Order: sequence, then C-alpha cells, then structure tokens
Amino acid sequence: MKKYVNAFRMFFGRCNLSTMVSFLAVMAGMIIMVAGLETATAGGDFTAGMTAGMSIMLAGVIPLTGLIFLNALYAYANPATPGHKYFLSIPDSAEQFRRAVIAANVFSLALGLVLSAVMCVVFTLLHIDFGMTYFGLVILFALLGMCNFTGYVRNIAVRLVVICGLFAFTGFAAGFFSAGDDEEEITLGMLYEKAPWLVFVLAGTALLLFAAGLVYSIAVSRRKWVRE
Amino acid sequence: MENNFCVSARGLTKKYSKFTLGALEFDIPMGFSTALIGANGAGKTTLIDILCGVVHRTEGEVTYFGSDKDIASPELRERIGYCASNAFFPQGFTAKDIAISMELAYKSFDRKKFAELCEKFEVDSEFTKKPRQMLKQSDGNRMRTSLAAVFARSTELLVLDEPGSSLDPLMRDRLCDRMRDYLDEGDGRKSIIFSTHNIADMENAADYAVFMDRGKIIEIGFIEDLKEKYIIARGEAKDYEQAKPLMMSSSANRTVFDGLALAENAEKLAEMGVDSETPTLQQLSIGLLKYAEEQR
Repeated sequence: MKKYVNAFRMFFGRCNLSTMVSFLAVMAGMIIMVAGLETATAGGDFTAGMTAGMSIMLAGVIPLTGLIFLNALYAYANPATPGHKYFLSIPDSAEQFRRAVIAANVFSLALGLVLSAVMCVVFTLLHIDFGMTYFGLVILFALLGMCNFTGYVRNIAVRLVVICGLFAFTGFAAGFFSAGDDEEEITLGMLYEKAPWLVFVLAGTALLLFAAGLVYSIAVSRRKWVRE
Repeated sequence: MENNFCVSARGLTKKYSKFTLGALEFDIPMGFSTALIGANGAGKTTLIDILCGVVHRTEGEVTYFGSDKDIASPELRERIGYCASNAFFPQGFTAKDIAISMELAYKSFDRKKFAELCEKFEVDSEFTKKPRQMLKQSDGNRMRTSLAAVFARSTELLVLDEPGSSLDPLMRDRLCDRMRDYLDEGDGRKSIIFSTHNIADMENAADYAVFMDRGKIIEIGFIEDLKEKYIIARGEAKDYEQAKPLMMSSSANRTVFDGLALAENAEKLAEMGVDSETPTLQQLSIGLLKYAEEQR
C-alpha cells in the first residue's frame, strides 16, 4: 500500500493533497450553501428549483473528479509534457509509473465516491432528489475506464473526443429511453422506471469499462512508458 | 584490471525517421569533466538521453563504470545524476514537491543539502515562504533549481544537458566552480558529462571534449592534447591562397586570414610567414565544426 502511495506522491509531490483538500472544500461549501438555502427558505419554489439545479450540477462534477489525477498522470507519458524526462530518468521508473496509475485510479474513485456519499446524505436529509448523483457515479466509472484506455494516446484531442463522445452518448441514451415528458430532467430513477434494463446495462458497461481499462493500462504501462 | 572509464560505447546507434546517431565508439575517462560540443541537431541531447536511460538505443552497447549493468538497473541510476536542458520538472512542482518526489525516487537524495543549494543558487527552497511553481519561474531559475536537485544527490556521474544555456554569466561561473568542487570531492571517482554551446564560459569546467556533427563524433580527446594537436594559423591576406591547402577551415578578409590547422603543419606555415598560436576551446570548436560542415 505504502509503495503505491509513494509512487503517487513521486508524480504529484504534495500537489495531490492540496488539490484534493481544496476541491473537497469547494464542493462541501457548495453543498452546505444549498442545504442552508433550502433550510432557510423552508423549501420555497425558487430555492427548490435552484437546489434541484445545483444537485444536477454537482452530480456532473463527480465524473470530472476522475479526470483530475489520471489525466495529469498520463500526460507525463507524453514527451512534450514538462517533467517527462525527470520521471523517465528515476530508478525503476516504469514500475513507479505502473504503481502511480493504480493509485491514481483508486484516489480518483475514492474522491468521486466520497463526494457522492456526502451529496447523498445531505440531499436525503433535505429531501432533495439526488438521482443524478448515481448517474454521475456511473459516468465516473466509465470515464476512468476510457481515460485508462486512451491514456497513452499522445494526441490529447483524441482523448477529449472520446470523453466528450462518452458524455454525449450517455446523455443521448438516457434522453432517448426516458423520453416522454420534455419538461422534466432525466434522472437515473426515471430511466430505471422506464427502461430498467438500460440502467443495468449502463452501470454494468461502466464497471466493465473501468475494470478493462485499468487492466489494460497496467498490462501495457511498462511498454508504453518507456520511449522507443 | 581496473577500468578507468565512466562510460564506454561500442556501436551505439539511435535511428529516428529523419536522424541517425552513430554508430558511436567512445570511452569517457573517469574523474574528469567531459564537454559534448556540436551544432544544433548534432545529437548531443539524444546521446545524453540514451546515456541516462530516457531514450532507448537502437543498437550497440554502453558500459558504465566498467560494469555490465544496464541503465535500466535502479542501482546504476542511483549512481547517475541527470538534468535535462529545460522544463526538467513538472510545471506545477514547487521546490517542496521536488524535494518530496526526489526523496522518494532516490535513496541518496539529501533534502537538507537541496535546501542549502537552492539558497546558494538564489532560488526558492522548500523552506521559502510560499515557494513558487516552476511555471512561474524564469528559465534560469528553473535550471538553477534542477541543478540544486541533482547536486543534492550522492552520485558518481553527472550528466547535464546544456546546464549553462539559460544561466547568466555570473551563475555560469558559479556552476563551473560547483562542477570543479564535485570532481574534487570524488577524488578521481566522480565524473561529469555535459553539453554546451557556451564554450567560452564553460571552458574552465571541461577537461575532455567530444565534438559532434550530424550524429557522428568528429573529434575526441583531452582538451590539452587537442590544443597541442591543432593550431590557429594567422597571416596576411596575400599568403592566404598558399596557406589554405594546409588549413582545415579558415576565413579571410581583405587584410588578414586565420583558420584551424594541424600542428604538424606549423613549420610549413611558418615558412610561408604565417604565425601560429595555441587555440582556445572556442576556436577549436568553431574550426572543427566548420571543417565538418565543409566535408559534408
């Protein structure tokens, strides 16, 4: 365990801790603000609408948390990134990179899960719908998987296209299968009511994508890390 | 038998689609400072990257300290300090991040020494209040920080790519002193290989020189020996045409000419009334690189 944390710190210094803490602090601040508003206005229509919007927005942040560390880590495999030569020159660099990939996946997942858990607890207490949080989690797993698959692609545009494509596809699929009332936002709960199989397919695919991506990345990391 | 070379290469080749380095054959003596000199695109950085394991060679063998250990060996990497020409550390790193990362990466990294060297080189150390990220520092300060980090390790060979290029003349002078101190501390066991374009400023730091052109070594040897092997010939313009065949490279104007020639031709040149003098490393470099260019 220590080896993996050390490898992670080797690639991120102490940036990881400060980034993680500040990110969680901002998120916690927003959630508390939403909770405060909801309590203060005793569930008025305006605040209810705003908090619902906030919950959707915060749910969208969950998958993005997965990209923070992984994207930064895979960037070091690109010769154009400052720091590339330093990391390549350290002893046992390929093994350190492999460990850092595993640690970055775990940290990214943990960050997303912690954020989701906080949102679920707070929103449950305030009776705010948090169905989108689950959606965010599903996308988080899928994004981590895609990031692992495309991590060694040197053209960042390719990775961004894949990630944007994934977002677009998920949104399209959700919209297509839960369509009926145009004025309501789509939640995983709604989708589950209308097409439960699709929810399982989406969640299963996301998990599979994550597992396959991680296995692939670990398997090829040594070969891809070392410049030919 | 004890091997007195810190690095030896046999048939070392690196092939890119538009550039080929080698095949190189050389022995770099242990206990000295070796300068890699060449024009842009000569292959200096590629050679340094190969020596430090950042780039893989296509063919050939490289031996370090006479042992059969490959550069992939963590033990060997602990003995070699490497510093790239620019943006060596991640842009988001501060001196503190560098200290954390290097301490985890290298057993011999001395965090206290790193802080001391940062202060000596007048850059942010990890104890500076709010140390700046590399991104927010000038090229010169980034290089100073990188040099402080590499000198803070206990190594037997330093490989520095253009260490003086972004430094001011005063700092280059300090760097030369630091390199000399490093060699003195090693008592013949520590060596330095560095590439440079600032030949005049770095001359004090170099004992041995490798001149490169288009991926090949065109001359190699101790600088003192090379200064005996070559001369700078200087004469009046009227003697230029007669002296030219005896010179390797030369330039002339309406009144005088000068150029690089082999010392063995000094007597013949003297008979023509051409003076000769010992070249500086800068004159040697320009003369040899010009000669290589003309021979292409």
